[in-house]
Amino acid sequence: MRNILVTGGTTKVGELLIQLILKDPESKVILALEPGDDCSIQHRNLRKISLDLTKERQVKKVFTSQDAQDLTHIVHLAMHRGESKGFKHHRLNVDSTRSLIILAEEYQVSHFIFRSWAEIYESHSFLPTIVTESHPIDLSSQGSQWLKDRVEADQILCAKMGLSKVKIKILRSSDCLASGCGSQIYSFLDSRLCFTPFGYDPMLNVVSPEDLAHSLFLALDYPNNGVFDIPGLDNIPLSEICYKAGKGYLAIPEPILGALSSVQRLWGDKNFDYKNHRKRFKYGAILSGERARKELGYQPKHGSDWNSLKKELNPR
Amino acid sequence: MLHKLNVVAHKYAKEFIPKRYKEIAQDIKLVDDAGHGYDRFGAHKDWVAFSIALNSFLYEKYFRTQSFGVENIPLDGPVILTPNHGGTLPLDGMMLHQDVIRKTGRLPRPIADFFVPKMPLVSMVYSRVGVVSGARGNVNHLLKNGEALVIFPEGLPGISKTYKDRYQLRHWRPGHIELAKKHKAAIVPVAIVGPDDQMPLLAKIESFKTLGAPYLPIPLTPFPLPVKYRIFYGEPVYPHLELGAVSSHFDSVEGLAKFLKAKVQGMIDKGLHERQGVFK
Repeated sequence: MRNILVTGGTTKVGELLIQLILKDPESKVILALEPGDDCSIQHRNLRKISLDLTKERQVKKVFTSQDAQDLTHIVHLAMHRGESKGFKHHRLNVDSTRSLIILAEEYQVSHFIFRSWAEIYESHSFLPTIVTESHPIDLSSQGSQWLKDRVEADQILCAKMGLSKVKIKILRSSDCLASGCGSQIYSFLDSRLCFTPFGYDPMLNVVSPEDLAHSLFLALDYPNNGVFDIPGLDNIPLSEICYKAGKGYLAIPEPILGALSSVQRLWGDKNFDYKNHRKRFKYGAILSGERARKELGYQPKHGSDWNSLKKELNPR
Repeated sequence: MLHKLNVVAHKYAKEFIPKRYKEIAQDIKLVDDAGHGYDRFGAHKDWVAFSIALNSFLYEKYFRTQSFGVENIPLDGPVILTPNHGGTLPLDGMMLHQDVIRKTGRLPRPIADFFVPKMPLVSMVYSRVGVVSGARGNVNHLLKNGEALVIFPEGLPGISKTYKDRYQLRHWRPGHIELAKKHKAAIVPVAIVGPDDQMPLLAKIESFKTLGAPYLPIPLTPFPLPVKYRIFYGEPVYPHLELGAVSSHFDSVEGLAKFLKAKVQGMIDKGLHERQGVFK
């Protein structure tokens, strides 16, 4: 029997994961909703609670509540998807991860599953295009808070691995092109004008919400600690992604793209920062996913739904 | 703009490329195609067909490429072709790429130096026709998938040889031998006669590093001369059998590298001796 606390469950990935979990009548889900959020799923084994993850006291209260007495798993998906800076975002992205793992240890939760990001990997001409879990992490100071927060949250959990009784599973996934799933490529496509570096058309990998949810589901009962790369089925160049998403794009000489991106952010497209993708948009990076296949039995099966994406990004 | 280029290339590949080139490219097997036609490194069959058609003039008419011993290339399984490198521009790689596709139906994956992915347009076009950046992880991945690789063991010092050093091989890096041993790949030594005469390099300006280029070459001619290309494929060597075997003559990877270098140098010298002239 599983009793699972899910954070960030209002996204498409979260909802799909909850549906997968609830297929098992023995499993219960406590869905932590941020104030103002709602989830359409109704089920007798699903309990929704309002929880501001940036407030540690509130989080602690959940662990001492009646429902969470026999908590077995925590699935932490909540991350601020915007590129905006600020202490509150840092608290959600990093501090909430830290406090959740500490509480998981204290209240003897068995499994902690964290959705991390492929963007944290370094990308360069001298590094392999095929990325494995031992690939260098981008620890440069040039990235924005969006990236640094994700690196920090990931590394907090890596530092706990093996020393904690909690089985920690970190799933570093490719971009999931769906709204609200925190994808920077999605935010890039959602911009009024998409600028790409002239002369480069890197290969990228995108994962469908179905596959990502399935990988999180498979990680629930994996008995060991582990970091796993979660690739999707689609290996596709950036230009084709724009084309399939129905977005026009303009190739601009790379040195002026950073400045243009800043102007765009002033203009209102705040969720994408080229700074985080300066190298990725030149050299590309594709997750290998071999470990996830061997250890979790994960194999991507669903391609991205390009028609829905096109409609979503171009409502008119 | 790139997308337009992409669309034009696809259209050209589908409608205007002569059938024989399209058929050659269609027989090539790409791994990891998720229904978009690209493999994980960005290679695409239409682009390969496009490159065959585009380079056919250079291959057939301009350089009048001839090859010998193509039967030495295994038709499946991991293999590394190790040619000499020279000629200021990497036309030797292009002609070898053409020759292997046409004669064996395999898509050779030339392994490029780290500066290549930094070069705008070049990096994109190269990756579409199968070129891969030379990170060890990439080479490992390709060999594991049983692909055919082209590695220039001389690297940049080979192609940047000045005219007075033509056809004199530079240091033969042994890294590919270790990888070949690990993946039980064959190494086929290759000698290319012709490229070192095509665009005699007089000097190079090392301080010029614009757009990812490692130096600015100063060649004698502004464009390559129509020299005759001759490609010689030697017998394959299997490092996993040669290294560590009791009867082996090679006690180390470096020893085998020296042997392969000497073999390629011997093939080059023979080719130079036999040819009637630079253009014949």
